[in-house]
Amino acid sequence: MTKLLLAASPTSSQSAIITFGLYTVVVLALAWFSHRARSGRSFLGEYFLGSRGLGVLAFTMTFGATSASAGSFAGVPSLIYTHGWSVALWISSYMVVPLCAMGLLGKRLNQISRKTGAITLPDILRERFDSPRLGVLASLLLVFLLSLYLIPQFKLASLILKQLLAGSNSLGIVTTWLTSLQSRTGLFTAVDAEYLVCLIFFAALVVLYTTFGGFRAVVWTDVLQGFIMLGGIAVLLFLTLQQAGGLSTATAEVAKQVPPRLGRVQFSADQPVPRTIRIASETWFEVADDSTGQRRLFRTNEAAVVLAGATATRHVKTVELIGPSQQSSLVPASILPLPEHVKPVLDDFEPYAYGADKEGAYLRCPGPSPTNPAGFLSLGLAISMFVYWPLSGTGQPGNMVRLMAFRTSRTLKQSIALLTLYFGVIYFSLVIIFCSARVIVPGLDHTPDRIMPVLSFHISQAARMPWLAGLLVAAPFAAAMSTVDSFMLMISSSVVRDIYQRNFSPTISEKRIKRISYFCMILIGLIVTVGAVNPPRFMQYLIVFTGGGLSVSFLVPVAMALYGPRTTGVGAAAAMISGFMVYLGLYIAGYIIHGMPRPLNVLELDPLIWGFAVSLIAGVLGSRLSQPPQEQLVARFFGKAS
Amino acid sequence: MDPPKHQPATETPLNGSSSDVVWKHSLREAIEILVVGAVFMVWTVGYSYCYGYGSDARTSLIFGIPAWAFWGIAVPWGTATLVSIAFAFWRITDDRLVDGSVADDQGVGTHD
Repeated sequence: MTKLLLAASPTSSQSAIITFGLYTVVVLALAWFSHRARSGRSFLGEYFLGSRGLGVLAFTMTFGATSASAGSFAGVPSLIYTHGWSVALWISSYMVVPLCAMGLLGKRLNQISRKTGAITLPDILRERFDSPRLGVLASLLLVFLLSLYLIPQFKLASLILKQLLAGSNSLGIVTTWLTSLQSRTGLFTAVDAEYLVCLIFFAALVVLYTTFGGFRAVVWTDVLQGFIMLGGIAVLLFLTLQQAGGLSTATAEVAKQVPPRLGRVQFSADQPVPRTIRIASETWFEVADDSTGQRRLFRTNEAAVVLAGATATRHVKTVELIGPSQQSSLVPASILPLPEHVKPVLDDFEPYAYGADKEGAYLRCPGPSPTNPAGFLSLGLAISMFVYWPLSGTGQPGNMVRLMAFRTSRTLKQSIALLTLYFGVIYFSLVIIFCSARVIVPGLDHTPDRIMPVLSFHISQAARMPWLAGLLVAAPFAAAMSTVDSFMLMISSSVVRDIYQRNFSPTISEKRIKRISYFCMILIGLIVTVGAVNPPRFMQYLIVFTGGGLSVSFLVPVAMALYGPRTTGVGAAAAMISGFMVYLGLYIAGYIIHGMPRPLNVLELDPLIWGFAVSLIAGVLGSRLSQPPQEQLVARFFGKAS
Repeated sequence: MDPPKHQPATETPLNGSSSDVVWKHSLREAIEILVVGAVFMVWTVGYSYCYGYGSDARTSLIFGIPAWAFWGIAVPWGTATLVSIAFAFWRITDDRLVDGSVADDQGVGTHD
């Protein structure tokens, strides 16, 4: 016997789109106000650093929003949904991230940037070591890694937008027009037209408000986006727990769950079907086991289509739920039979490599894993991740630039306190929400990256507040935007200030530098958009690699520059290059050894940890073995030695 | 314990030398922050490893949270929040960040 449940698939609503549209209008309005506020001030300092005037709220929110990229709202929920409470340990060092990321370098970086008039990170290194070559090296590395990082962010944001706008008339009209344009011109014909429309819209929006408004607009929109993220998470937490019957009930249910089996299904008919049949993603169906007579419960994770005149769909990702607890959470009456003559043909369904048939696996460490026989989180990885998040956050150039822009020491102190509370609420809530999501939206294990939007639409519809989906989906979109705008500004400042002005035209007029900055911003937007049309495979891999690469390249050199009077330009360059090369080498070695995009974790430690260690050693050795710094330079930054 | 407000950017000890006070304070604070981070790492990872791993892990719930995660993550997270706030207000010195020795090419402005 075969039954089918046409589940409440995430369809967008008009009210959700209106909510999202309002958000877009507010972002553009902030850019306009920012542009007006900029008049009469030094262009470079204001455009790229907001005149170093960030107060507590602006500094906290821009720091928090920039740190939380789209990965926080797509990757992290996906991990929590797949591996359960073990991810709480994986992410637990966020408890000290604000203290480390702001406190380790903040005051000193701010002081040095004021002392030297620096507005970029390469500026700081150049002035501190009186080394133009080091400044250029830092700029090139920064531009390269930031550009790579932007491509997956553009893609993720476009996919989120596509999810939100799916089925809307406006998107349909534009998509139809673009499809005909694609066929007429022969350009990008292999690219999904819906995705392309969303990509162009996202790129235009970000480029417009960042170019027009500069740093101040980025900060103001970060504040807005930070509140949207906070509000989105708070509402999601409340509604999820309400619909799951409270945290205790949800966790008790999750405790009974065992990891599912993953496989593929092809829906086929005995003879060609007269009209196209579509079986939606997230559709439940049952199959009676011929040998035991027991029913097996499945949920598709992709849409399947039997075209008119054809007999079968492609093989679609499907999850088989195991254990009575998961089956009892469904409403049997709502399972509908499959369309006439259509039968599911099951491929092999594989159990999890770790955690299969174990009740309670989602509540314990190392956590279930579909691929790793040792489980998700080994002890080595747990230690590694506890070190990873604080150091990675401290070493992010995007965060360092913000540390150059706060107003006073008091601002820094209050922001540490506020950001600690903010991150605590955001990240611990994510664990609770997406562990509980296993009860509300079970069987999404084959495409867990979609859990955030799917859960958002599900609970919004269940709460009879469809407009809420717009706000909830705006949270990850806002996270992507707040990261992208900051990084675009950093690339532009590196090119305009560190490469062009410093090396080719020191006496350039303000009017001309303004034009070049605008042009540069638009050019970056265009290049990254083209890169994101056909993005490279392994997007998540690219995000992790470039994010870590930025930290491992800059944390040690900058820390040594700020705190080590004996540090030399040679030492800083050695730290920068060696850290990045070791990190890159471990990624390449991992790819060669595993035959897939996976870094080599020597002694179960993340490549970032090895990169930091080698960077530190190289920095110290490079400084010791090179000419000591000039006394005048040391006196300028450290005062006179006793 | 509350540091004086807006200390000057350099201080002059009795022996006549003067070193950058922001550097000295920041270095001391950075070392203390690393120690704080290490303490919470030992607590969180150590407790979770002892009680959260393996088949005999404690799976009883406290406020709906697995017991190991409550004592090994939620409680240290709450404590770390309090420690971070206390550290920010009572251990980080309220230094003056502009010494006026070099002209800053920025304008002035505020954001909130």
